[in-house]
Amino acid sequence: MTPLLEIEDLVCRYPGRRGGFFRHARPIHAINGVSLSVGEGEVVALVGESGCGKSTLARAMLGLLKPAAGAIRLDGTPLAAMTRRELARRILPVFQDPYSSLNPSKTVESIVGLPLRLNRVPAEERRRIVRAMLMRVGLSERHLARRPHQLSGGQRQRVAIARALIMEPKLVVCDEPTSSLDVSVQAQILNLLMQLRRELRLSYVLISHNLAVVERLADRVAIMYFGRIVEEGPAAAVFARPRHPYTQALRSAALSPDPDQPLPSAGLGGEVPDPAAPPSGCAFHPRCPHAMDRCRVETPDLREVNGIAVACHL
Amino acid sequence: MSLLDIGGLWVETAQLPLVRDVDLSLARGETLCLAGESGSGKSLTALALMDLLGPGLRRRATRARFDGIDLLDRGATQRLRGSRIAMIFQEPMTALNPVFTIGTQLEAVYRRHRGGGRAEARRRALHLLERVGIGAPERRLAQFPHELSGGLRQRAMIAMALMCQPDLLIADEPTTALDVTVQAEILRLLEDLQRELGLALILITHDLGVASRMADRCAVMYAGEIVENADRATVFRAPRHPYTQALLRCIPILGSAAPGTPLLDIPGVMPSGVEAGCAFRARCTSAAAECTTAPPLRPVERGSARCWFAS
Repeated sequence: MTPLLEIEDLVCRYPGRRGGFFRHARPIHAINGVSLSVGEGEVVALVGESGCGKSTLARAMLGLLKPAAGAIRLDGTPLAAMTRRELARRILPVFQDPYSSLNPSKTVESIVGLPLRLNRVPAEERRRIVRAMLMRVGLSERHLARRPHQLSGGQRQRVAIARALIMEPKLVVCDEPTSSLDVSVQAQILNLLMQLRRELRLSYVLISHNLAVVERLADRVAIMYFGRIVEEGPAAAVFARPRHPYTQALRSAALSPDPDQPLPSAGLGGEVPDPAAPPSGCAFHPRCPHAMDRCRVETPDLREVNGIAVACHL
Repeated sequence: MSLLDIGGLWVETAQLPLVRDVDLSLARGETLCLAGESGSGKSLTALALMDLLGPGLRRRATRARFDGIDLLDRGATQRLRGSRIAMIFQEPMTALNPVFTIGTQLEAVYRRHRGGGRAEARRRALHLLERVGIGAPERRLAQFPHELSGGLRQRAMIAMALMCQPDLLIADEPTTALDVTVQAEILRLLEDLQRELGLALILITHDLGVASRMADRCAVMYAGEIVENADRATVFRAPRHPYTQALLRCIPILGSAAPGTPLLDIPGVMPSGVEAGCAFRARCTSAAAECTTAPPLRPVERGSARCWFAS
């Protein structure tokens, strides 16, 4: 069976800073050979710190960025062969900050209904669909005439979700959907996402740095570091026993509210490498507590053992 | 005797109180976490202490003393600020001046408050950059803020705060803009420095995971008021106020529930204006007739809570 979304050996580059007047800019590899698939009804999470390429990957999936190499296929059709409009009907985003992704001068009704209008759905039917969708995401008739600034952060995120779902897409790309929300509201939105997934048989690509959120929502997780996937597998299994040293570090840096636990003792040290001067071999070796000579020379491949793939020489 | 003693602190605009009747006290070497969701008034409380409120905001208090000095005296507060009381913020890029080098900024703080020559200030800056874990400190002194990564900028900010050997450090969401692996290192640095220098620390955070690891005592704020103030073990293991209880239940914890299990949430949102009665009443599952009268912060076992039913 073909997966809903299939990413194969994807490479994305950004133009780098020019080295000098006569030197050409060296491109920066934001995504460096990523393969990933999302099945129907599946939730796949991308986890990693800033600069790991997870948002670039999301942009590529939404067709907002042209990959330098590799392919993304939706239901077997390459994204490159689809029109903007077709793509925008089938893969939709929910971004971190709904305040900057919602047009401040429009009402909720017109924001949520815009995709319908672009697809020439008649006004009367449009009104009916928008109303039904608002109910579904936990808003009501009262909110139809409001503008984004008249809504709370949680309500704005509900509007963003309603807009994403209005064309009945199969796949929603949620980029840090609750990072700008308070925990009490975060719980409301996460529950809504889980409920909608069940009711509408949606697939999500969930981008998050919060491991506990990922564990609750995702079936599978891909841990990214410096443009590559370093570990991938069922979310519960990956977090219960992380194999890659980077996943282990993320796991131990996650602070749950526990008054009996001290701060995690040994940190990674250092920071994500400069993309303009990538390290040799395994990109993680300068920060890895177990780095060996081989890691400095040879980039490890992603190898699968018992359903979990890890890119590490250990 | 406590180093900091604040009583009945209010911050208000012309129309609306934003922080109401806050009492805080802090001993030397102690860490107090001010925890709460956005809009709960935790940052305003800190800014009011430092007399750094923006235009249109007024502060008043029945008492505000720092080591015997009256903080309601603006001149006195100004002299303490940056020397004996230092502050670091969430985004160091906005707190550091982009057009001066790190060295210039560190030295300026020292020379302004301590006098002394450039050489002396520079020695201290080098020493502190090294202490906060910045490698090649000579090179860093000559760099501008934008040349440093987020983690290094926050370290430089901490070094700057320590230039005049403060007694109290106020850290407002110091790790919120950082990646998790960097966050743990900055928190550990703060903890080490505190022990080493006997610093009192007020840590403002929305992250209860951070508060639970760092606090000696934790004050939880809601809608401009402290709703619970107790030692760390009480707040995080046996919280007395229904808001603290509900907030802790909302947080997903790794390995604690099967995938797909719904999270407990707090329905509704924090009120933005002042309402009659308990501010949490509309969202509280145990609200009763008594709650239409606003409860005071009452003493409860091992702390205090603003709830008629807490014991």
